[in-house]
Amino acid sequence: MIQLENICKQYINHNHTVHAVDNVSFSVAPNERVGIAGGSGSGKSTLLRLIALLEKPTSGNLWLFGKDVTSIQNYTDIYRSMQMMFQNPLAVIPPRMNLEAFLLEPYINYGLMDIAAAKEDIRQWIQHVDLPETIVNKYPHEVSGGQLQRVVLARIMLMNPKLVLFDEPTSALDAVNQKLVLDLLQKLHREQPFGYVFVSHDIGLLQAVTDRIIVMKDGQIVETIESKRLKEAVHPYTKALVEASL
Amino acid sequence: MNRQKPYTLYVMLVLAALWIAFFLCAPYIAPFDPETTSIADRLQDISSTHLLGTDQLGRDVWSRILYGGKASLGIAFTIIGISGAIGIAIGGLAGFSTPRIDRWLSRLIDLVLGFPNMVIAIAFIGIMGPSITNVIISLCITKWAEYARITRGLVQIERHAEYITFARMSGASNLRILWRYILPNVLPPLVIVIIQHLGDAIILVASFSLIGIGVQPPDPEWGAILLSSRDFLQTAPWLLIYPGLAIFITVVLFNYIGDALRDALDVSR
Repeated sequence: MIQLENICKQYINHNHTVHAVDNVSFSVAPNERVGIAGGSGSGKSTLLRLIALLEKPTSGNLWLFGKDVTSIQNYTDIYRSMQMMFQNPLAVIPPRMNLEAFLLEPYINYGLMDIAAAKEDIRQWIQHVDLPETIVNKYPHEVSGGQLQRVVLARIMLMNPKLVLFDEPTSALDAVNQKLVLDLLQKLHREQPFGYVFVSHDIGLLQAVTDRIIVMKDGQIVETIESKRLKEAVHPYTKALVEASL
Repeated sequence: MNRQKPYTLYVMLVLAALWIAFFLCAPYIAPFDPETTSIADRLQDISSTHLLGTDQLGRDVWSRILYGGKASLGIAFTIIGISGAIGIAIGGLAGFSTPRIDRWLSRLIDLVLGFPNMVIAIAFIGIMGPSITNVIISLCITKWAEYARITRGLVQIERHAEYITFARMSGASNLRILWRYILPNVLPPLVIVIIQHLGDAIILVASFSLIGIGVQPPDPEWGAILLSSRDFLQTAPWLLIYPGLAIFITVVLFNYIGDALRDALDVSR
């Protein structure tokens, strides 16, 4: 589903070249749950943005759903199957748009169904993510962060994506809401299988929600390990991340 | 949406509507023709016949202020309307287009902003001659750039917002992003700026008339009335006080509307 081959991303900062992502190669199979762990500045979020086609790699090749996407200009077809969940839900919803209008957008843009049917579908999705139906009449600033993140998750899932990219989606939430969102994610994955790449600095969290964890440091992959065998990690950096998460 | 109703804005809008309607109705409510002179009635004090007295040529001050308001407000609205529309269109294009187009349009905006309003306007009117049309054109030549710069900045901020990225991922086209996402967030602050600039435009037009390059006597306009009355500051101060008061009330009213609108359009309140 995803294949990266020698992907590099460099920035020039005050005449100094920063290797944000340095020669990274890996692949993700359909419905596979992959975690990317690492500290601040390890390149994990940049890597996710490269996969999300929000940035272009300096070099290397990227295939999504079997297509070489390094040279294409129009991503509309790719985004029909690939979605991304960001860290701050308040930042992804326009402040002057109510939640129903926000949820209706993919139906209108991709012509998924007529408005009346879409509203009914939205009602079911809102119930499905354990939120009150009346929430759709509210504006983003009137809703809590945890509830908003579930609204965002509903909008992503109603598009029936094959791949979802999660960029630390629970890091801005309190422990209770964090658990609610993660439990919901697992429930949705069981009901409607899709592959995902979950980026987090918390390797313990990744162990709970992924099958495989890629550990990054200074833009490079230092170790790839099955989540259930995390205690058998050999790289000192991975061990340090595991210890820090306990 | 459970929000407190913007009563201050409603009150201000009603007051402004009444104030504007009052001057628009000048031909119906003015007791005298604003340009008819009567030397026998010159410099009369307040009376039941002349509510605000008469000027040095015996013209009714109340009638001249009513007609002058119609001219001043009309010119200010036209200047702000034309320069606002041009500025928003050019600024929006610069903010939303490719870096190359943005660079060229930004240079043009900076170039125009580099020239002081007054110098350009005086030069333009000097060449074309003083008239209401030339006052409007001369101010629009430079004023659009202010709105273009503000619009460009606002659009640039919006287009890099995370919700635009998220919208693109949900299949939104450029046109839809502009219409559904950027415009609703850019227009409210722009409307506030434009309304607050109405007061500035009235003062600017009055200043032009005051230095003799705006509306020409005997046409009534608040600045022109001030200009023609400046020699009577000590002997007949009402000739300057009343038009000055009219300018002051109008400017304050539009500034208050701008403030009330800013509070009302703040979605987080």
